[in-house]
Amino acid sequence: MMNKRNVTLVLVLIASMMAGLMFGGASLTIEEVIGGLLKTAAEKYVVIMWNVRLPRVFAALVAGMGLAMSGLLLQSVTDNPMASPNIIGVNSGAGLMTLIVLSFFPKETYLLPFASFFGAFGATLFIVNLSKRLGSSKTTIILSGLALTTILNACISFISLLNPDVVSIYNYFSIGGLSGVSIEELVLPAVLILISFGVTWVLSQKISILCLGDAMASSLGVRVKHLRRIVLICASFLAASVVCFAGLLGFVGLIVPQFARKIAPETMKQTMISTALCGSILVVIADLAGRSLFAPSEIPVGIMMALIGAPFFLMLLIRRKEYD
Amino acid sequence: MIEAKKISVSIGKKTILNSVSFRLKPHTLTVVVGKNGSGKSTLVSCFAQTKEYTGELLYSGRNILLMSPKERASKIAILPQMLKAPHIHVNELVKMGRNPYLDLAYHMTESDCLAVEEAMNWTSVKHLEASFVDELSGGERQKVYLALILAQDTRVLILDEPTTYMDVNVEADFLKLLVKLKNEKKKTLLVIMHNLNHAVQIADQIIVMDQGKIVFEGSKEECLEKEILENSFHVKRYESEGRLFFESF
Repeated sequence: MMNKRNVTLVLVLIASMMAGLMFGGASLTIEEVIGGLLKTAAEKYVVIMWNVRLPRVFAALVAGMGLAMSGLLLQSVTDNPMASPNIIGVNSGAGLMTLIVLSFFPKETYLLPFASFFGAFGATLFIVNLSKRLGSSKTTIILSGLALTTILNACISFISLLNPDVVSIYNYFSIGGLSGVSIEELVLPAVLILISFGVTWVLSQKISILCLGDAMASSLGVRVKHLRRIVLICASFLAASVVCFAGLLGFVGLIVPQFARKIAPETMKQTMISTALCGSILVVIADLAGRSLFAPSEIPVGIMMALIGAPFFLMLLIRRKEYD
Repeated sequence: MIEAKKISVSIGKKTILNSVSFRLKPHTLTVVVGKNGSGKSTLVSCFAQTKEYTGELLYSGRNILLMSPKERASKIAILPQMLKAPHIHVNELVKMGRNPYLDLAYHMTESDCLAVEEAMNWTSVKHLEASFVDELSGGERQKVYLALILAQDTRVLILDEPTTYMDVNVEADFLKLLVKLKNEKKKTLLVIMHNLNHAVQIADQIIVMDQGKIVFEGSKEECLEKEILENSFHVKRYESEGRLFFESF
């Protein structure tokens, strides 16, 4: 089922999650972590575990998995290694809706996750319908995504000008962070991510045929346009589910799939597993670093992701250039 | 077996294919030749259903447009001109040829595995099965893709300029393989080619296209007798060691 490298990744994920539970503003021992989780330790450890650390680590796990999987699917169906959730307008759609709620319904903060979710999904529906009208080609999707992102960002800037009070809150959302997240608000995104993962798992073999190009895939009996639309919807669900609680985390969907393909290129299923695992590991470690490096101050995970992700991405580009 | 009836394709106001009609004879190798822009590759795109067209493409009298994609893929295999080089193993690529016969779970039966094995043996790429497709030479990659469409197990094979990226020796072997497919596997082949020397070397039937129209359809002998290629391509013919060659004026 899983190759050796993916088994190793599972062990690394468990270790990084354990580190995420142990370290942060205050360092805990393994006994205190386990006692806190089992509610047998002192009250303060139980509170730290169940109210702070566990939701935080779980959020990082879900965010990494969702964004990385979204990136993998987008890159597969568009045959473009630069495709990621922020390219096709998902993030900007979520951002615009968030800003609208913050500007016009500032007291209704409970609306934020739903608004960002519908904003992201609305952007995807727009892209899917536009690409359907224009022919669903790979370049069309990327270009229409870029055009939509530009329009949405212009709307975001315009609303910020009208209401400068929301800019600081929006800034945190646009950077991406996991502070203050609760287990309850993670349930719906986690379920949506699992459903999307399941659908693409079933279709994984057909998705892998898309890498042969539209003409070859079509001659092998794949309904290319139909499949591309389903995968785009799943990719949007995956990204939007994350954006609604973690904000606009950018680099995960871009770099993780490229790394995961090198780790497990054998089959699409193996690549999917390694992508989900690598994404989770990356965000868990980035969040841990953000919480620990300058404790008790905290660096949002979005900044840590950019600091880790950008050099890593450059390294991949340099290696590819050397290989070519 | 395969019949094209009044196939027309237009992009904007430009007509790419203009009422193209022809019929492929079973167990023959038909070569389509024509200058750049004559509509050869567009014709292949119509068979792959990646270009919208008017007219009918029939397989044993049935319109392929009305077949499900999987049914169509179990009858006609197509090798496009531009082939991707994904970072996957060769055996995974060849297995994709069984897609028309597999369910969503992608469970390969013994006969599916045998078809894959046989296709790789036939094209002599068995030794490459653990290699990555993006690490192969152009000729090897073309052979691996040929194995893929052989694993598809169809009666009709359509190949669009399959020797584009090959050097001379590999090209000659590949062409022999196509003739062997027709003779031993009883396949019906439609091959798009730009090299007239190779075309007359392997063809039973020749279709000559010019500006989106068919200007000749018939046997190789008739084509040579009527000097169709000489007139269409402005070339002269000469014979050397029992083989025909064409050369520009």
